[in-house]
Amino acid sequence: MKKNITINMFGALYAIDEDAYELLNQYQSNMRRYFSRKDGGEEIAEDIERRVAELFAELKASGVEAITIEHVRDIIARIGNPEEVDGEEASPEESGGEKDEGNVRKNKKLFRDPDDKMLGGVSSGMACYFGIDVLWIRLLWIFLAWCSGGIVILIYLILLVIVPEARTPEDRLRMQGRPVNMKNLRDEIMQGARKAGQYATAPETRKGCLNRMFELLAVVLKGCLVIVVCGILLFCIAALFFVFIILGLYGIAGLMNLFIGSPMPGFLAGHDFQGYVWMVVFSFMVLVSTTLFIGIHTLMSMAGRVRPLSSWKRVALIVVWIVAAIVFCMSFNAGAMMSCWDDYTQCPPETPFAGNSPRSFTIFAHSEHLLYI
Amino acid sequence: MNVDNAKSQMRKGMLEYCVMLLLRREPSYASDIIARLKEADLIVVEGTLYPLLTRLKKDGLLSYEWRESTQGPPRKYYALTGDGEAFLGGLDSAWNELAATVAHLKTEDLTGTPLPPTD
Repeated sequence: MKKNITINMFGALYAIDEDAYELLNQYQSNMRRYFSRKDGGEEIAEDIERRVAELFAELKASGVEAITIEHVRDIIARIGNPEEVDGEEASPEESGGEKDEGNVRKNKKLFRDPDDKMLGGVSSGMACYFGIDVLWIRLLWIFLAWCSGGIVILIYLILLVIVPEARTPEDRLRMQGRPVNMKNLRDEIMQGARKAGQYATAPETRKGCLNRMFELLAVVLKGCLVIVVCGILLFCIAALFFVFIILGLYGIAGLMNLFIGSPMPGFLAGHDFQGYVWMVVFSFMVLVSTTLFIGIHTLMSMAGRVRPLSSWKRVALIVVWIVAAIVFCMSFNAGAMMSCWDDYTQCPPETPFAGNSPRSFTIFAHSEHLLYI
Repeated sequence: MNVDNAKSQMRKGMLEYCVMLLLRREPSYASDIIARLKEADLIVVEGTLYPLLTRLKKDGLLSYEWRESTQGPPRKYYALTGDGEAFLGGLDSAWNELAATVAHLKTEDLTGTPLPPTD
């Protein structure tokens, strides 16, 4: 006996078992995630979803009342998983078999293993990564936690937050360090389907409750981390905008001085100074916008929402950023230096520079500026 | 390197040409093409076709239009564009050359006397 739900695909309704739905959902989100990085990927994922709907319609027409997990498994084997589907476009290098053994270490990634966990799956993931039995890792954790008086628990919590869970079949293969090729992926998906079946029928255990508590804890911790990071980021942005506004005001004041000729107080009087102010303002704007763009884009591509930038775009952005940073620092320094000297000229005669004219100091500042370059 | 692998490499190379040949005869939708390719044993997993169609469409060799179907949602019917026809012409001559070369190599290997290449 299985719970059955109704799903709507492109306007048609299909009755599907709950475990079959889980599997299908996982398959389609894998497909979307995989192709989100490719050109026209959304269209490909949607076309494949249409194909699934069509195969469902065929099943329905042949008199199948409810779609079971076996049907979904057949359909997945028929259409293929993302890596297989994309195999046509990729370079022909799969079926390496034993040759891939050398790359195993390189392809291995640390994940949390959701299938074998006491708390958060950190230990079992580490066991996979280092290739030792999970029992030793857990004993080591307990031992270290006891020795360090609990500080290690903090490290565990941090790992719980920053190490991703192995959700997709591809992740699981990476976790185990098995080469990501057609055969392994198919095995992994089939195994996942079996697990989905167990999951749907297995009664809730007390261990399940504990796990859920830890998942909740991980979510709360993650939330705290995000809030702290966002706070720091917001503070930085606010500080940068504050500086930006101040510099902008100086720029406007300098401009007024140029066109209206109204006497400006102190260090805003020199014409050369304005050039630096504008350089500072402009390079600062470029700096802030490129930093924000790179930051937001990196976050989005990490979340799989957008494709990562092509390498030449990345290089260009970094070059622009560096140039803007250099210009900003130099012009800011030069401008500040000049304003100091201009202040000096207005000081009473006891200062050693008092005898010189302001012009000579400006020239001096220029040469200093050249020295910086 | 086993026979299966070599075969699958060959099929991969052929797939684009075969799909375009199918579309030259008449506009079809993806499942039609899949059925034909499966008959000919040209694809193993059905999904392989979709990235190919998307790429050919992006290159301007194919275009599609939506058509209502008697059952289920509307379908994308793919057809060759003018560029696609020209491209396919190029593939045709490349294929003829290849086939001629293969035939030539085979017969020469068997009899020892080369035949004139058939076009």
